[in-house]
Amino acid sequence: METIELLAPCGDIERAKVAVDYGADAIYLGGTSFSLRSRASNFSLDDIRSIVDYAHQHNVKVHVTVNMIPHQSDIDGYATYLSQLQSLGVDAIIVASLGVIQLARKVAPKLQIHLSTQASVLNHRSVDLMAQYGVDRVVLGRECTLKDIRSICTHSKIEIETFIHGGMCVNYSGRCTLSNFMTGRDANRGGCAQSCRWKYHLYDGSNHELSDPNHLFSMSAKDLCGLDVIYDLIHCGVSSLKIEGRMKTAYYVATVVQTYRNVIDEITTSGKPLSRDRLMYYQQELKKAENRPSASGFYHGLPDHSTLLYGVNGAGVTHDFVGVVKALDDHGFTMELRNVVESGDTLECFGPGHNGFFTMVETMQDENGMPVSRAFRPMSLIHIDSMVRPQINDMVRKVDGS
Amino acid sequence: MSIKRLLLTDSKDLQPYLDNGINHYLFGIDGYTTCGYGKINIDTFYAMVQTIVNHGGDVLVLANRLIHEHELDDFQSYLSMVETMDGIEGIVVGDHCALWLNHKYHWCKPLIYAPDTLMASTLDIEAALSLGYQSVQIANEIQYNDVLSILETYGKHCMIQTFGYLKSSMSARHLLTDYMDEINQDMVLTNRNDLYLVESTRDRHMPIVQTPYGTTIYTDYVRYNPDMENKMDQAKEHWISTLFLDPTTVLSALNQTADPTDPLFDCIYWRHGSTIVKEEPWKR
Repeated sequence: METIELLAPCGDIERAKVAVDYGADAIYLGGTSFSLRSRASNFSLDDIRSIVDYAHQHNVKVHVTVNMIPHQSDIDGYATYLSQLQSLGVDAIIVASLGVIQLARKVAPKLQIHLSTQASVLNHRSVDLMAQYGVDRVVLGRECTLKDIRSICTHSKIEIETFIHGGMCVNYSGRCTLSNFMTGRDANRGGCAQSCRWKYHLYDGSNHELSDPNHLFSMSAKDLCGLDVIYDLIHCGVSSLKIEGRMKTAYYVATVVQTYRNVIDEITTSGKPLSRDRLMYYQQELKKAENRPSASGFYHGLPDHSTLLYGVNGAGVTHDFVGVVKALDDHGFTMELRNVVESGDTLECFGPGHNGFFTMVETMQDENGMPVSRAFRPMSLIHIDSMVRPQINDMVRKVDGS
Repeated sequence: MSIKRLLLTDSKDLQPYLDNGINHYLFGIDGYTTCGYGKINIDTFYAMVQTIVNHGGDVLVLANRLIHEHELDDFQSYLSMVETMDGIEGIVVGDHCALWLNHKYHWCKPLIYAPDTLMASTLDIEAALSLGYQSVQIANEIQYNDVLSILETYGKHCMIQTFGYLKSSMSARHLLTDYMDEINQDMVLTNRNDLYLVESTRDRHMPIVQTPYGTTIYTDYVRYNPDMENKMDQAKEHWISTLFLDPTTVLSALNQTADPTDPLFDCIYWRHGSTIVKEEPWKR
């Protein structure tokens, strides 16, 4: 069975390394300019050089987002930036603007060009036109159904990438200016205020309220979770599965990348779709880090109201990230603390290629070797007495409610 | 001097404008445009085109919806039909598949690329023209100075919306139906043009329209600024959206006899129960 690229997001070097270590085939990131996630940490040119070296040593490709829609004042500097990316060894750029594609072909011809989902390509004729224009890969709009994707892949001569996990725009990406008009923040230049997720009253022309004042209208889409369509997407001939979330934490990146890595490997090894039990298992794995409810987006057809959020925005994340393993000894391990740990908590250690090392906290000591029943100071070192043998740099999560 | 072209979404609106000597129109059959609401079917479309041609006018056909893979054949048929019609000056599209079809079948009608957003700099406009589009619609959300800068270079290839509610979002989802299902209300809200949203912390009214093809939301104000409009006369065309507005209001704005601060314009908001006149973003 053919395999497929797993493409992971990263907002800084730490998260980029985590994505590489936990099984991504390619990572994508934004520079400090011309990218759509202005609140992500983003990478300087030196950072990009550093992560390109690290990723390439691990046979992982690096895609850089240059997917802002430029206004007149943004044009200066684009050409220089694109040629700098090329000279740093970046594998591909993710672009939404026709003008930037044209420019990149001129000044950085070695860079692969991936057309961003911001361009909202939903059919193979558009893919064909973009192929003629010099695009190497199209990231499809998230409104494509599985059936549409199958047809697009059948007819297209270039690579197709689809989103598999993470946040969903409720509107066509790139065609939404709610944020611009309501807040003055430009959605297509990295400033989206997510005005769609606010609460709205709905009225008719007689000024009669149609909405329920206690349960107002909103346009907040549940996050995408495409675990159940991975087998089909591989069969369709999709080249790359993209995880959304350049602003997510390292813990989130580790958990989600590792889960999808395992799913892809299991499917390509067996040549079969996931069984119901395995699907449920992986869903539970994702819930260890996922803090929003999820749905399958448009993959199975037009989504209904159950895929939107009107009131509660949070989902019960089942685990909390509490630390990173820094040292091992005969009595247990020392971890750098990120969240509160108390005696009686159940911890799970996991790292690249492994998880499921569970231990209950019975005794622990602070940096001075003094016994404590509750550790709470971020970045302090805490020793956990345990029989489990995690690995250095493993992440540690606490089972919720333990 | 720019051509002023009226965007129509209802066949019944046509006659008052023809009676006032307006000859340039923009509309399309529902299902292929992003701003219809079930008022222009194929029969009314033909009749409207014929009436306009008989008055010596011309039409740009609106076909600017994003096209999903399973809709390609229908869309091709629509473009193919339009291609053979008299009185059609060009086709306004929002999806590149139209350009691919245009090349493939050697169609002659000029294509205007109007994705609402995306065309925000000379860089993109130059690229769109090099792809094969004859003209583009400048994005609605860009600054006034950027508009002027673009028009200096590419004015003869540019359309710009100078009047009316501006589209602010498009979704493939049936957001109103979804919401009614959520609150267990059995109410059909598809193809209605009288609905509006009020964000819970502000008293501003945003028209919302759901069709079988998705949901569109508009700004909570009407773009109208005669001074600025006059300085954009390098644009090939100014588009005047009549959506949600009565002909009297549109005509007064078209003739620039309406004062943007005049209470007359409050009637636009009164229609939705508000008297707020919002700052035009071009002024920011």
